[in-house]
Amino acid sequence: MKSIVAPTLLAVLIGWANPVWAHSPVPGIEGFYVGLWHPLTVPGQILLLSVVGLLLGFRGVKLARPAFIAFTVSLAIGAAFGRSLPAEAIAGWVPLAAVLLTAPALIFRAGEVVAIVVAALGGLVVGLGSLPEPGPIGAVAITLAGSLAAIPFMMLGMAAAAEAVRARLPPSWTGTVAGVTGAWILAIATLMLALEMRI
Amino acid sequence: MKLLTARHHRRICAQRILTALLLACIAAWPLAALAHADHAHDGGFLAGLVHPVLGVDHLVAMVAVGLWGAILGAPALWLLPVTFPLVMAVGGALGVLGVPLIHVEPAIAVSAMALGLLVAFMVRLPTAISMVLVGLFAIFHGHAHGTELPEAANAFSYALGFVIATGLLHLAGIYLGTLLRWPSGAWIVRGCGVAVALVGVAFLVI
Repeated sequence: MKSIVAPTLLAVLIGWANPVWAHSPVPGIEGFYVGLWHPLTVPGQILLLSVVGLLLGFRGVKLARPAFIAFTVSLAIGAAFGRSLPAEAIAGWVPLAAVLLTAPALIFRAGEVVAIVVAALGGLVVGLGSLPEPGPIGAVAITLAGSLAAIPFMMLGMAAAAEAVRARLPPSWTGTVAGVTGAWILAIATLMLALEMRI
Repeated sequence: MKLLTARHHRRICAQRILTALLLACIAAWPLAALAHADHAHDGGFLAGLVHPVLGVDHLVAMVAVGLWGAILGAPALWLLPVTFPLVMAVGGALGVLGVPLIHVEPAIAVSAMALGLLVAFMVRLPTAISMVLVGLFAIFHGHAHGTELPEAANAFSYALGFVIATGLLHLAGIYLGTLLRWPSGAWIVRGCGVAVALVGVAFLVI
């Protein structure tokens, strides 16, 4: 029961903050909030962060440290090169193509080296899509800071959820859950990519 | 004691059938909302959720995949429901991109008939062959869904609804398949297989 109450309370508190935005006392904080929520507005990024987080979570805590370092370093590199591809591609087919490349690693529960490569690729692609639209340097920096603060937490949140599931299931079921989840994510990305190409 | 056990088994059978029906109903629930649909948003989550349950031949085939997985046991139990949505998404992508496939509708009817017969006779094929067979059928199911996709489809919400509905239908079949542990339950499963095969025949003939 306690396990349900705490996340529900947290969700309510987060939702409660919405009306306060209109009277934000800190100049520029709106940009930070925009950056904070940005990863949740790009479906391809949500899928990619899910793949990376679930892969690390289902593999266990031991792998999380090197993979997390690879993820954050490549996230920063990606953000630095955010203008190297057209904005439509970065928000559209690029993260979806990355999901097609990385989701098989989740389905087949790839080894440590592959998982670290997947984390690095995921970080790079999400970083590419995190650079805000051109504008005053201060505003861009604040919005980017919001995105870069939120993305690792979202990935770690998925990893923690997977780790929690892994800890509660018999070992033989972990592969099944990872395989089914990965297959569903891959199926969603395949359909989305086809729809993206049709448009 | 024996009477009590038989009654207990009957009650469990009834509970499992009701739960499987409930899962199928959850997948089909958005149909009821269509009467008040805002068609400007036809391509969203509800459209994706509804699509796999709109055609009876699609619906019974997907439940039959879950049932057959339950008959085959692990690892096919989870490999078939993994294979089907994956390959179906590839078929859907082909349909969305306008890549033609021949005899799609007859192939879907044949898939329902074949899966129904495999369940009815409890045919146990090697896992790899089962996956290939299910994958082959899934391409046609996916293609049909892909070509019928609404133009205004919101890619993420549509795909999410589509995959969730497919998964729920497989889950309904797997749950119904848990009846196999009792002799009377096995006959219910066989009966479901016959019903699925008959639906396939009806679609093939009509």
